[in-house]
Amino acid sequence: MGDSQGDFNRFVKNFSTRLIQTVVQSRLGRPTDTQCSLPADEKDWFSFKVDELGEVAAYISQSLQRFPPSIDCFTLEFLLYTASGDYLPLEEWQVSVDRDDKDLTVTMSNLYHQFGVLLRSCAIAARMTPLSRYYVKKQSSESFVVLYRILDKMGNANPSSDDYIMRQLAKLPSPYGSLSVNLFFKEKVETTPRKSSSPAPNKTSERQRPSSYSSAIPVEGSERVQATTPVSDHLHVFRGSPATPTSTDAPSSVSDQKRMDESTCSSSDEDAGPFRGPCQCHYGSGVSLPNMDDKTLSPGHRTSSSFPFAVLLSSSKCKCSLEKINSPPVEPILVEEEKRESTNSASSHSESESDEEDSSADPLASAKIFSISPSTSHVAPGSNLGEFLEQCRHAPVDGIHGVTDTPNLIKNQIDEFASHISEFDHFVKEVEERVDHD
Amino acid sequence: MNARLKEYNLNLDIRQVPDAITCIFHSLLLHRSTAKFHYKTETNFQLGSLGIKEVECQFIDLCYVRVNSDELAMKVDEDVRAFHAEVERSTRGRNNGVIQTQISMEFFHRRRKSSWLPLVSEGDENIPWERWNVNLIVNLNSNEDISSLRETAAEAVSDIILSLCSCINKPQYMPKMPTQKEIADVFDEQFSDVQPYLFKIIRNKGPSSTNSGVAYTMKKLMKDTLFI
Repeated sequence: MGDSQGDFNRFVKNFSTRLIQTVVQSRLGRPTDTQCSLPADEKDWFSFKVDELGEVAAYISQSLQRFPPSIDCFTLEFLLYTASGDYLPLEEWQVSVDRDDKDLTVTMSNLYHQFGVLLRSCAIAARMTPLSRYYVKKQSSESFVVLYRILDKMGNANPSSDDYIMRQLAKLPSPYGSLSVNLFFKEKVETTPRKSSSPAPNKTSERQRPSSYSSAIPVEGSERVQATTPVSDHLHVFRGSPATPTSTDAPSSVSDQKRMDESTCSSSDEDAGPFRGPCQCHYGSGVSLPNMDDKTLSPGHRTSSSFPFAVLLSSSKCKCSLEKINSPPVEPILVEEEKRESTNSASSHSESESDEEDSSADPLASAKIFSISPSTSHVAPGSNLGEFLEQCRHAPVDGIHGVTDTPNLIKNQIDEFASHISEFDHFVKEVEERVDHD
Repeated sequence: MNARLKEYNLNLDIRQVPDAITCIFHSLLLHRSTAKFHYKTETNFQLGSLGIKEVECQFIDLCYVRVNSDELAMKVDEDVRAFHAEVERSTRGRNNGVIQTQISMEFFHRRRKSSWLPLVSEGDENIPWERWNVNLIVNLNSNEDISSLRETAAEAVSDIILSLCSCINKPQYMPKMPTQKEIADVFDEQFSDVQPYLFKIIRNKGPSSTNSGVAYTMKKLMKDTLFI
């Protein structure tokens, strides 16, 4: 009995995370394409393949510390954030467990199968709502972007709401309560008082035709803007669609959004939680994403391809600074060290050891970060999340990108070379003598 | 046999018929498919995982997801194209007006021939357990700008799909997971990467030839009663 209760809790937890991933990914505006596989991967639950986005996974772990049935309900809410600063709630997915509604005849294997069917229903239904049909592919900095947030409670929509249409996608009975997935969506766009600036009276307009937004779709692969979010504590800014705005044409009202880069996270979530596994993502439950000031970001931050785990890094850095993790030392294989070893310079070797010990304070540590990657890992950057996070944790908080430190680095290297020039000359002389002897 | 029967009505331009039908049928098949089985023993099997692919409709403002199996997609596409061609043939020479037609997807399981009832059954019998009828009113005004119809068709089709999703998650009869010997009686094994429940697409050209809900149910009921 106890085990079955545990199974049920795991089913609901894994179903919830996959539902969120599936629905959020359907709002990317990028075609989903996952392959059938046999046998199933360990991380595949409900015989349904869901590629997890690291950003979404990190946000789930921050937003939902507990899942039904430990909590009554959670809500995945989608909103439009317009260029004029209005928030237009459009859609809610509410997942709840009614612990009093029990059906003892349902077996766990049947329930597992039903969860799989329901998950597929959610993937299908996510493409059928007005949000998906009218807005997802029309996002731009000049009109609106789609945002989402996760609440660990019931959202604003309820069956008696006049402005929402409700669809109960399922009510699955089980011996431990019935799981319900309710979809609420609006046919009309309504401006709410939740406005970041210049409050305006509520107004309701008829649903806008997609043609009114069609001119603002930027080119795929354009530079993405990462800046502070106006609602960072409560609202997770949805990133990434073909309609991602360029940094040059984005008006401040929307471009100031914090756009989160996406990355595929291969997590296996068994007993220990949804985000453990190959990637070993241990995010602090109380860690909030720090606002990333655009001015402090190097160009590397602006594209997802060059820096794919921006938010995970933020979480990691934040956690490091908050909890002062005493992590095991990295074993950097430095190009500089190799050079020094070749010259058998004991003094320079001891210098490099002291560099290692004081890496957090050394402005030259940034050079180490870049030199570690190619020598210690043959995996493409961003493909091994655990390793990446580990490296990030050891990175100094400031000076990661080393753009401003480059002159110092060159100067130090020249100084070092100058201090050892006599040894070098001696070495060259010895070699020449040996050659002459031979 | 309590076969589930659902009917939906759609009003479409003739160019939108393939998009709408494909979208509805693939949504059904995504629910009614499993990944391939890998039997370890006669009764013990391992399941794979289903992948999905997002497809954009050509004449409707709508995207849908289907099982990521080109073989299955090809099979559905064949039937839908044949249906569309039949509808087009039946409207030849007409420039306007509407016609009514129907197309259905039926899921069934196979009952093996019983040697002690040779007169009742002729070979294996297909017993339907779920049938989805789509009644179409097809507009032949091909001169009308398709852009004005894209959105209305998308609303209608998406409404059907959402209704379908709600309906399909309600408890109902489903064939039991088969043993290795019985798998061909429940699942369609012709595809290399996916295993849908046995299904067929039934094309009806006109309303006169359609199986109305009550008549169809009664016919099946009598057939089952006689058989049992």
